[in-house]
Amino acid sequence: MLRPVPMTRALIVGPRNDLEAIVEKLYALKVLHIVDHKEGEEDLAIGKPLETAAEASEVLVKLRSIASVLQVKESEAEGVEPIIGDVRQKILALELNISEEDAAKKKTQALIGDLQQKIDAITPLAQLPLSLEDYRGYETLEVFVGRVPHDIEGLETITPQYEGFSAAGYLAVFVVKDKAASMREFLAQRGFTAVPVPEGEGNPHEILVDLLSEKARWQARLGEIEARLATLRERYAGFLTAAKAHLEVVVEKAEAPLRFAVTDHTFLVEGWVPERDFSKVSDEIGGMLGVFVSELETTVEHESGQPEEPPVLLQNPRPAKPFEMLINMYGTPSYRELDPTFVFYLAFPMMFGIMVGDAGYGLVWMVYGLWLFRRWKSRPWDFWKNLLVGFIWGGFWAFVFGTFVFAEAFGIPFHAPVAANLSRAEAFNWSDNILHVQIPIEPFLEKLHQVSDFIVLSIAIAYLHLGTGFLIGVVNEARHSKRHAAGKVGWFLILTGLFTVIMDRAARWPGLGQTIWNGPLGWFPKAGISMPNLGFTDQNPIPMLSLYLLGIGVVAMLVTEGPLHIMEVFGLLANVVSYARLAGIGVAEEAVIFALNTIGLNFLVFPWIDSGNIVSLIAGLVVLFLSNLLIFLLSTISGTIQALRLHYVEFFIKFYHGTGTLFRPFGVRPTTEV
Amino acid sequence: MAVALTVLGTGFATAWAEKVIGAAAVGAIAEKPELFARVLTMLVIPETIIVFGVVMAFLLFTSI
Repeated sequence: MLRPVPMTRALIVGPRNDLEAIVEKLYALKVLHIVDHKEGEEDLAIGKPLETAAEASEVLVKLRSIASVLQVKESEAEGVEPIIGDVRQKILALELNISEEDAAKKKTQALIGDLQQKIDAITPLAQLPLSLEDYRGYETLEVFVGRVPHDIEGLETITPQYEGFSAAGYLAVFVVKDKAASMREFLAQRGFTAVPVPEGEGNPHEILVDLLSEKARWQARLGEIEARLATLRERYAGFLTAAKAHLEVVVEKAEAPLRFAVTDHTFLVEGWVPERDFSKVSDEIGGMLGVFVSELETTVEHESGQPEEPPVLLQNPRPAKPFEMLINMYGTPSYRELDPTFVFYLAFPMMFGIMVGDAGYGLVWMVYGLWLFRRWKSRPWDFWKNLLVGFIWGGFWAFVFGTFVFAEAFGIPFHAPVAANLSRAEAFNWSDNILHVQIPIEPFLEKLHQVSDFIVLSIAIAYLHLGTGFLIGVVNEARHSKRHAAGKVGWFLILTGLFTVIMDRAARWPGLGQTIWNGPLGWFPKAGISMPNLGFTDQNPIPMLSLYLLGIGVVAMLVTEGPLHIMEVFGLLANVVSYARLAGIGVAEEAVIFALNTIGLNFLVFPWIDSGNIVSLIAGLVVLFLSNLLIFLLSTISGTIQALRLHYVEFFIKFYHGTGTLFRPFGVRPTTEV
Repeated sequence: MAVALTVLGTGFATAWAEKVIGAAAVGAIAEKPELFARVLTMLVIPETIIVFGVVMAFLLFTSI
């Protein structure tokens, strides 16, 4: 649970003749994480791919091009046909067929493009009542044809020797050459833009009609080709997906020897195998004639002199398994450190639950999440499915905290808050106004009325969380450096010192701080120095023990980690205060939903209660539903992000390295393919 | 007055920091969509500023 699966280093040596058989067996076993052989090590060459590799890769390339022409998507793998017959023949035949269609399609598209260009060129002229030959072949005249933003008048002010033709938005002007320059200027000033006159003869309007009908013909043909391609796609999508998967496996197997070392007659594979599976490998493969399987020392010296790190295969109980994804997102744990998944599995959804802190929203997430999870039964464990499990757990804790700590659902409290001068909406509660049954649960903490208690609660959670982090750090460091482990102990003492001082200060007035200080922390020696101007009166002096803890911690930290780290004590204080976001998000969301609920109640639901206006009730329920939906989504998003952040930034930095590599056994294809 | 200024100042600081990160984040996501989750967490890091602001404001407000 806290450690990854123990790995052992395996070495397989065998005759080259058996290479193919062994690759097959290793692929089927799916337990060997191959360590690539590098040329130059121990004078062993890299192996050559099997003969099947070249052909299979070639077919695979063809297949990919077909798939891209047909736009077959990976996700259409449903109803995959089993591979029957010669895949290669089938694909070559299909390629011939499709490349013809594809070429025809491209040709038609190019033709249509050409036609469209011609149409664009002739359209302006088709508006004007002149033939194409009318525009050229004059010795004494200059012709201007082009677009105009509006009718241009006053051409005669340039010269009377002109003739103009105009149609909606277009203008053609014939003018004597002497006056051409001034006419050009006159037109340009009025927004005239020239268009080129295409080559050829005839009536532009007729030409345009011809072109349009030709384009329509080609478009019809393009439609036919596309329909044929669509039929092919429908028929072969399943085959293509299956064939692709099949060929990828063939290629992977055939290229495996590239990761092996070979001599003239033997080959050599090195890799990591989970300890529990080693006997499987040695039985299955070592049983073959002339093949030798052995277990190597696990501390193989790497070039850098460090022992080589085995790959990491995490092992966690099923409910915690989905959270491995969120850990890997930060970094895979290294082989020699504790796997933080289990702590994460407990703390992450709990923090989410505290921030959401509403029985209603928690219940919705649990019910909706479980329903969706059932629907996604056959879905592979991708990002969203893993996250969904996180939300279900988050919903569970939100329900628990919402019921037993905050005692509210959908922003409405179980009981009216204990405060004077409540408005009607403030006093609205489940027990008196909706269910008419007294819910036997009183709130431990009312978000809107006990903000300081909520902050104290957050600080207490910070202490537990960060303290766990430092303790894990002690265990991690103890294995290779006692000095660093002592440093972590120092940090833990500093944290404890800071925490007790904060709690002591919070205990000055009645509230959760005082409860914790006198209850769970009642054993803590309280005698110390009073500093009234900082709020540490004679009743709650700064405990001497806290100061000793801080002092010892700082000295331990300075000795083990160096004097520069003194600044990080303030960083740690900032980390602790940073957990106040639990309270911040919780209160903010409660305040917003309270405001929205008040609007819905005051303007729509109460009028129904008072006057029985049913329309008002329906409108009120709609408003309440929408505002609750909004806050439900908002609190989910901020709850997730903030809880993640507290783990990634505050928690993990205390102990976690996350520099491991994932265990990828030969034969298991990665789930997300690019 | 001091309470309002604290919240206002830290609020603006957070908004400004997130604006800068957000712009970079959108760029990064456009290039590599799989970075989404990591970017999202980075985006909320400046929120610590406003959290401190709110805590300070609260301490000032209740003058403990």
